[in-house]
Amino acid sequence: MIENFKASWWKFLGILMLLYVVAGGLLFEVPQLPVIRESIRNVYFHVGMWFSMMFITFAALVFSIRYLRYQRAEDDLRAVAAVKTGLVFGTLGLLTGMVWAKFTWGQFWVNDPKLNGAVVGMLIYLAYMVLRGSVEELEKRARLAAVYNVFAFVLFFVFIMILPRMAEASIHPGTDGNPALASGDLAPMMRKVFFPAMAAWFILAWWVFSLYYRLDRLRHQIAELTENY
Amino acid sequence: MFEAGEKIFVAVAVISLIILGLAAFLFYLEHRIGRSEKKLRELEERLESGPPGESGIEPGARGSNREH
Repeated sequence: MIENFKASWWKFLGILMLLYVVAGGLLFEVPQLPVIRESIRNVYFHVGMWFSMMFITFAALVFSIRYLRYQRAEDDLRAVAAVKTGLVFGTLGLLTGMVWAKFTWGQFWVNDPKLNGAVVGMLIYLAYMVLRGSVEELEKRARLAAVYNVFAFVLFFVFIMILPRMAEASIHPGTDGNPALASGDLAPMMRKVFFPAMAAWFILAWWVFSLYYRLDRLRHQIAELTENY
Repeated sequence: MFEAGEKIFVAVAVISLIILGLAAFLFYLEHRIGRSEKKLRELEERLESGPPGESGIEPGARGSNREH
């Protein structure tokens, strides 16, 4: 029991931080800005989910590069688990963003380069899953997916970070500098919740990733056993 | 039932409950996966301890369809 707790302390910490983010995010004082008003509190959730998506897709890129270098099946399994986790957090980020857009811009979706780029980025990662499903041979699938994943991350980054900055008219905040981190983007009074929120969402993303990975590894091991016996 | 100013506390309580439920679900999944990993390790050890025929599972008896 104690051993289990020792191994899982960071998960408990993540949950405690998330509870703090919910309480602090909804109860602490926030700046009263026109249009956005109280909905600014969504920054602790929406931005956290998107940053987690970027963090975990970056991890997927690292695992794919490691697979291409060392050809270890574990790295391929880690990469696909990270992409699956990224898709979960990306979907949550899109949904929280849509609700926020409805309350500030009046519509669930507006024709904005940042929003469209986010969807294209998600579709790129969905295509990664389709690509994996279309190749039966394990090694070929892993190699193809790893190469595709390198391009997927670069394209994803271009669509959500570079193209929106080049576009002249984007109403999405954070198209200059680092979104939500620049001094003009985030009020100092929000930092005591924002930074723990980022850490909490990252921990949750890593936890979900580790579960996906262990599940995929189990399937892989069972498949190997089934083939041998 | 609740004053306007108190509703936010209800929202905090409900979202906190959802997060606790999610945490419980993730711990449950972890427990189930851990149990399956243990069973698989034991099975692998049994299979490695003797030739396939003697381990109780005949070669090819479980088919060769792979699902990745």
